[in-house]
Amino acid sequence: MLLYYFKLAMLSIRKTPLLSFLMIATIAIGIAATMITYTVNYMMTQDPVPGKSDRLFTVHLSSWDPNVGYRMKDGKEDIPIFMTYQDATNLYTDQRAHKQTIISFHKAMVRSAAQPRGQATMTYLRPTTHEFFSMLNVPFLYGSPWDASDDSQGSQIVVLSKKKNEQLFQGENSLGREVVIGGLIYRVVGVLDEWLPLPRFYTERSDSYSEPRGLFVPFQSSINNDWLSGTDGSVYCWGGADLIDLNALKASECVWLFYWVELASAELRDDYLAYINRYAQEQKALGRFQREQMNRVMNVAEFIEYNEVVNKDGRIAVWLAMAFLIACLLNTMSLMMTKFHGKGAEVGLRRAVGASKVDIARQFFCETVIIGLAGGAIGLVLALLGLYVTSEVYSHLHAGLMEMNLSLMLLTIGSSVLASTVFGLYPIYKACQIQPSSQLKSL
Amino acid sequence: MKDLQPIIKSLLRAKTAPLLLMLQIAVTFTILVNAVFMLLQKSDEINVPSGLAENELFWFQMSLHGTREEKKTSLFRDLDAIKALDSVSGAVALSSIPFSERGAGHEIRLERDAVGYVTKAAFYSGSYQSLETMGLELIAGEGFTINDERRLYNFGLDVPSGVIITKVLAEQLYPDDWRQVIGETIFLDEDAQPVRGVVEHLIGPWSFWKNRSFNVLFSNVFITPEVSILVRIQGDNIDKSMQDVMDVVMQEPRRTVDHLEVMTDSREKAYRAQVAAYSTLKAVVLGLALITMLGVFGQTRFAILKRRKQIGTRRALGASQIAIVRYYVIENAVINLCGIVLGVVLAVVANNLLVAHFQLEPVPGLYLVYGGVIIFLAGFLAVLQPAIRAASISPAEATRSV
Repeated sequence: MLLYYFKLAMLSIRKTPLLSFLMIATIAIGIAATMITYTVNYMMTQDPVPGKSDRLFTVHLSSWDPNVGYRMKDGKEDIPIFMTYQDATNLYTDQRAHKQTIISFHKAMVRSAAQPRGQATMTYLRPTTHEFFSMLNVPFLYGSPWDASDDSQGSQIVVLSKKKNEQLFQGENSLGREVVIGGLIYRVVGVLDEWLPLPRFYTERSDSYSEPRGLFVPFQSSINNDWLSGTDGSVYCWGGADLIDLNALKASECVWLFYWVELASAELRDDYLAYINRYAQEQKALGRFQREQMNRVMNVAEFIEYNEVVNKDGRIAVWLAMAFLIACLLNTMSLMMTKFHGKGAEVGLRRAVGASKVDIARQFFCETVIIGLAGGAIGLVLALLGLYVTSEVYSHLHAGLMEMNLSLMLLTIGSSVLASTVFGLYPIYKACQIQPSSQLKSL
Repeated sequence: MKDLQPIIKSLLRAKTAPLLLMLQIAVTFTILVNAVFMLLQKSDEINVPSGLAENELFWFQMSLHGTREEKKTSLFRDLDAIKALDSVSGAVALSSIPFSERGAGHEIRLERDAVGYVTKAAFYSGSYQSLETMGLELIAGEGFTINDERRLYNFGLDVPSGVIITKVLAEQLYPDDWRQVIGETIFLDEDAQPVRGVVEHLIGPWSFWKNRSFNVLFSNVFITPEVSILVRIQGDNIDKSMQDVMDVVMQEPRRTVDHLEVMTDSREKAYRAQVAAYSTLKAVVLGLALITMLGVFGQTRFAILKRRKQIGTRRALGASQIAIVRYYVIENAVINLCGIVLGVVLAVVANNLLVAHFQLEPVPGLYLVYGGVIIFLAGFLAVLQPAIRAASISPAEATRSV
């Protein structure tokens, strides 16, 4: 019987091509607009380290100027999201979390040892510690992270991203090969596989949706080499600090390092915060940390929220598009009313020869499902097209944000069918109300 | 107007279709008013005056090497050499560069111990010729002279040598008369500085920041391992000027240069996200207007199709063609007006939600009026063609059976 209804529905759609086309097109446009904005927003708000994000915490300390607060945020005093060199290294040496890492920044001219000097390019690096890779679930294509002894010695070794390895070594297994960073020789110990955490939560907000830096080196090696660059990351200072070289920065109260820890379970959070507060008390006894103490740890989701990483415009766009979809659906609903009204005679006839109201409802329901399916399919094509255009227009964001996965595609079709059936309910109800007599009389 | 009563009666009798149309108009109105307002705000943001001679400027970052004295010497030696070039009219070291997204800022107070701050403002510190080189227009007070320029390894704000601020910042500090600010002391965080001049415009380093037009200029070359240099060209060949300048700075063998960029590109990059959002909004507004007009159009055609017989009867009973057109136009106007009234309510609710959740600015009432007029006119346009067609229905229609 269902098959028969589908046949009838197809027939009816073919009989009123313009109306049907308009219905399908309006649904398709509304669905496409909603899905384009939703996809971008969905990709922006995904969990960047699935399964772990509630155990990863960034640590913020109240080490700022006793006279003036760091800044005001939402009407309250706020503390820096960065740490001083002294605090980061003190906490790191303590090793009180399950894992901990220091994240720094540097830029230098980089080339492979085989390339001539003139081919070196300005490259942004990521000095960090070996735990970085296991804490953030970074996948390796070749080799592995360096180990704790490399961190303590500051070995001149480097891990390359897949892309950087393609640039420097044409994508070969480059383990053991040499890279020249700012005139110094670094040996490759690892090459990453495709890795793109979105948002890139572990650093500054402005970097959240761009490619991760392509070279990772032991933090200690950047210290050994006196590397200091103030323009590819942030350094915040107080008390007239002098930033002329790394030694000045190390001794200062300037904040510039990110500090992340992984705890064995999310429940240990309070214990770890208690440890941080004890550390702050010790420092206070030494004459530092004279401000009111508001040290804190934030997990990944909290830090993303705090840092306002997810673009406000994106969320507004989703709401706008959804309102747009509703306008489209109201339009479709009017069209359906028109269409079903025009079929009054047919309904009357069917009712007269014995079809029940439920039968009529089923028949029209099939039709709305088909229209929903068609609208969803065309909407999906439009959305994919729209996303392609969006990735061209939003060239500053990573193209990975503008890609639909399978579940989003299914959602597109599903929501289209759902929307068209829900908005079809009333027209169907009206159509079922048609009395056989009223229509038969005039025939 | 004698049509009005039968129109309202007939609308009340078969209310679903007009109700749908009304809802659609209301939703459209809501989106349209909010989207257009956001659109205009974005357009203001994108076209904000920078105060800079943008077409004549480029900038870069370069490394300095050696001891602190060597760094200082090499910076000023290179700056002098750049300024001596024929293709360059001015060059300054600046602590941050407009549109570069990197810089420093302070909380600005009029009293050191005031609890809250008046506003936050970005901070530019550099050579004394910064104003001339950037192309800023000094509208009150005095600029910097060579005697003001200090060359330190820190920001040097502890010495009150005076700052120059932008006019909008002055207006924020002294809303009654911004000229009062000249000679007054303001506090940058905790450091006191007298205001010695006011410039018409200057854009901050962060394009997305709401305080991007609040800026403070100071005359101290802050020497760090990497410095930013802003160059104003002489003549109109910016590529040649850039090449000439690079030839000068690359004479230092350890030197690295980053971000060699013309200012117009920096501006474009800074506003990429805004421009993209702007075009998206435009597409939404356009699509909506089209869909709604289509809806009104289809709806009226449907209504007329349904009532061919009645129209025929009316024509047979002596109604003129004008009367038929008038009937549908008025009917449409009634639906439109109801839709707009509901739309105003919805738009205000939606705007309140946007203000509450996204810290947007509230839509001014005038937009509601404009939006209403535009939607009304669009509805009128959409109904004209079907109404005229209806008028052409022949009276003979009345005698046919269906």
